[in-house]
Amino acid sequence: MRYGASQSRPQWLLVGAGLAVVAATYLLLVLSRPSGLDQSPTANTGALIALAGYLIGAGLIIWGVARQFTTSTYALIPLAIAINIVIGEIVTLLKLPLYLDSIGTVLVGVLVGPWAGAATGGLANIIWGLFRAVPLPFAVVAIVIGLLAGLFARLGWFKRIYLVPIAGLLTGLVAALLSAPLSAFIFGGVTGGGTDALVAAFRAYGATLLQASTFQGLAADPLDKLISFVIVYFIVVALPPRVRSRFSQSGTTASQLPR
Amino acid sequence: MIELRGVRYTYPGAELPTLNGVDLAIQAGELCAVVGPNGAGKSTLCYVIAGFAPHHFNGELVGDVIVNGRQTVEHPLGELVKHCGLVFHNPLNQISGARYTVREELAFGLENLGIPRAEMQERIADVLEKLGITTLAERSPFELSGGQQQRVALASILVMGPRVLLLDEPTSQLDPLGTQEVFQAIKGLAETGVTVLLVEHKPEMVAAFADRVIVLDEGRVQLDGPPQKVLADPEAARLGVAVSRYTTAARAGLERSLWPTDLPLPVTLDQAVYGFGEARLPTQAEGEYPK
Amino acid sequence: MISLYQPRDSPIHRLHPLTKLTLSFGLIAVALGAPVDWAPLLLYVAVLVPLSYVAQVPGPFLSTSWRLLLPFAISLFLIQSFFFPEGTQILARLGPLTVKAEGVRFAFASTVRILLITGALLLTLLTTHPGLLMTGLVQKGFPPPLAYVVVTTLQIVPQMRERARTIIDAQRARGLETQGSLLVRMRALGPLVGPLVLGALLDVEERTLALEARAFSATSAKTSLYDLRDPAAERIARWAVVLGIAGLIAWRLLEALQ
Ligand SMILES: Nc1ncnc2c1ncn2[C@@H]1O[C@H](COP(=O)(O)OP(=O)(O)OP(=O)(O)O)[C@@H](O)[C@H]1O
Ligand SMILES: [Mg+2]
Repeated sequence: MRYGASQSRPQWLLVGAGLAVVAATYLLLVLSRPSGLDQSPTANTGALIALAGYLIGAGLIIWGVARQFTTSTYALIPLAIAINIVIGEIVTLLKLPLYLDSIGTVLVGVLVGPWAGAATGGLANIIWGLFRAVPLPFAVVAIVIGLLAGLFARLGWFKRIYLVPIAGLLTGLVAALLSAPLSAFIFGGVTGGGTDALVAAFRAYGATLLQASTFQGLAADPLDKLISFVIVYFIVVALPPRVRSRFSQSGTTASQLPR
Repeated sequence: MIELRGVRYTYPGAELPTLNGVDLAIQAGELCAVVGPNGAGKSTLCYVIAGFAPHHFNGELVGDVIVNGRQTVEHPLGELVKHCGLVFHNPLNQISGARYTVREELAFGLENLGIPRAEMQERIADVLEKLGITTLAERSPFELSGGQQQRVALASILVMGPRVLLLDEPTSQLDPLGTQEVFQAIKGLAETGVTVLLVEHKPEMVAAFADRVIVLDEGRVQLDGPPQKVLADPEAARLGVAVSRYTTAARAGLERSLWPTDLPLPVTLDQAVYGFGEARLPTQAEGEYPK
Repeated sequence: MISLYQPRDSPIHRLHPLTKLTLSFGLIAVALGAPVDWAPLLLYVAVLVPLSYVAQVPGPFLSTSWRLLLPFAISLFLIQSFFFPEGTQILARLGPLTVKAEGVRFAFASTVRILLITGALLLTLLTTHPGLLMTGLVQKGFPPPLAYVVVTTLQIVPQMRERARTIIDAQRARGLETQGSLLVRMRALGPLVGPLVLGALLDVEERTLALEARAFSATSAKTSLYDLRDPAAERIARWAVVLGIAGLIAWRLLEALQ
């Protein structure tokens, strides 16, 4: 076991396989559109493939990065996931038309690095899944959000305030695209929330279900992630330098974060 | 048991060393208190002795830190924590949360060390008994009072069997009852031969429990001696060490000839009561507190 | 602690956590892989509901299951019945809207699928203490630091909620508006989220030291206070289910690729 004071590398074989499984599943579902959607189905092939592909992919990625972090990172992740949950509840309390349930995930990605962000996202959805079941299949979407947040920080996009919303927007875009097939093939294109009205509207204009749930995602996710990223930017700016450097020693270097 | 020679420690990125030439030897079974103003380096001293500095914090360590005959820099943290335990002030940050009951919480460290199950159960039962928390064993650590939680935190370190125990303001978040509970527990431990280094602000508590007090300031040991002598020393007050109200009262009394001139200034209530009682009869005090 | 766990003394509770998890996924795979729409409903009624009685948790099982399903079911039947452009069989007309048979059927198929997926996982979660679930997984090779993360999160969420409540009260006392126009409510976000996150981050340092002090990063093989029973029959059953799932997926995959 490698964890302790210094961070080691992911097990690339597992992580690579996980990413490949997710990408293949996405392409298979979007390009070949197996039966089970739109036409009255005789077989739910799409549902089984979507669920299996996304779950196995998420599992491989999480497994591949599981043992590499420093003890500080392991101490940070539960707090970050609790932040996701509790801020999600504050947003509900304020009756805002947003989720903002991945601020902790983005924060870990930015402070520690892409793989720590990925692990936080994946575990957050597994934990949500422990009392909701529904978020479990979406773990891979959360993984990608944490991963991208970390990558954008590595690229120095968190040094300039005007790049931060763009990073959030792009992350939201990927999240929307990635979750659409899952939503369409397993959950019939709906989320059980208010934005489902959008699905109805798109369907009324003749969009396929996959298109409609992609549009629905695009209408909600990019804005949500944009705001999340901006909030995280301001949190990072407000952090005492000593706190910030404790995390960034092993991931994003301090020079890639705002001063 | 604990030996520091010419120790200088600088945090990463800091310009000046936080510990700047500490020489200190603490014998086995001694209960030594550390006092000093904010930012004196008391917590850092604990981290250095425990090996967290430099193993966890990185930074630069110069000089020798020898605990239990081991040079801390030469052994990994996972090994050092078996011999030297550290308890902090906030119990909530010390309860791992990774387990559901007090018993399981105590097992957490032992599981990480790979202790066999039977030995684990035996050690846990022992420590629960020693700290008087056997009745809490099946409760959730999160639903206990502060004093109980801090004793659980202490127990979860003790169960790992350290010969040296470092306590960094273990009662600063507790009410008087919780403080009393924790101090009784610490006293009991020292009596079983564990070496204790205790960072503590409350002079009355220190005088009542410690064998020895050192005053740390600006990263150096400024005063070192028996609690009575060090805590009532005007030099300690000048360095920013909290002064017992009994000392203050007796000093005022001394100026008005209400305190025996040949009796050292008191730190605890009992000493003050004795001194003021003897004030008009200085010859009977024999220059010493009765045992 | 936040969890769905219902303590009972039942044969289901006594199964190894990994067995329950594997069986749940096996059931999900069968339901999704079956060539008929109503397969998930059949499995729910014929397998999960009786098992919930065996586990002595029928009440919590049924209520949680339907509570999770309801928002999806409402959305699905409203949207897919009325807006299903691919459908041709018209069942009814409501002004400009038409209800199409294919849409209703699709809504039904999706609803029962969600019912079964959530139900299968629920039964495991209702009958397995989260701590034991993680102990069981770790004993089978799950990474211990991840188990730490999962259990600790479940236990500190209530603490974090408490902290959020304190912050909300304090900021309201200082005159922060949490009601009103969208802009006003958006503005309230900063003063609530900022202190919450900063406070949590300041705790990390000490929590890290406390973990290190408990030999979190020791390299020796870890042991466990509990010895979970894992009879050979369960192990064999698990492998059989895993092979079955793999076979089903492979079959469906080949079909989809053609
Ligand atoms: N992780 C760190 N990185 C850099 N500097 C630090 C770190 N921790 C402490 N310091 C600095 O070292 C000095 C001593 O800190 P330390 O916490 O040891 O003091 P202390 O005596 O325990 O104070 P207190 O009574 O407030 O607990 C302070 O100036 C502090 O700013
Ligand atoms: Mg301190």
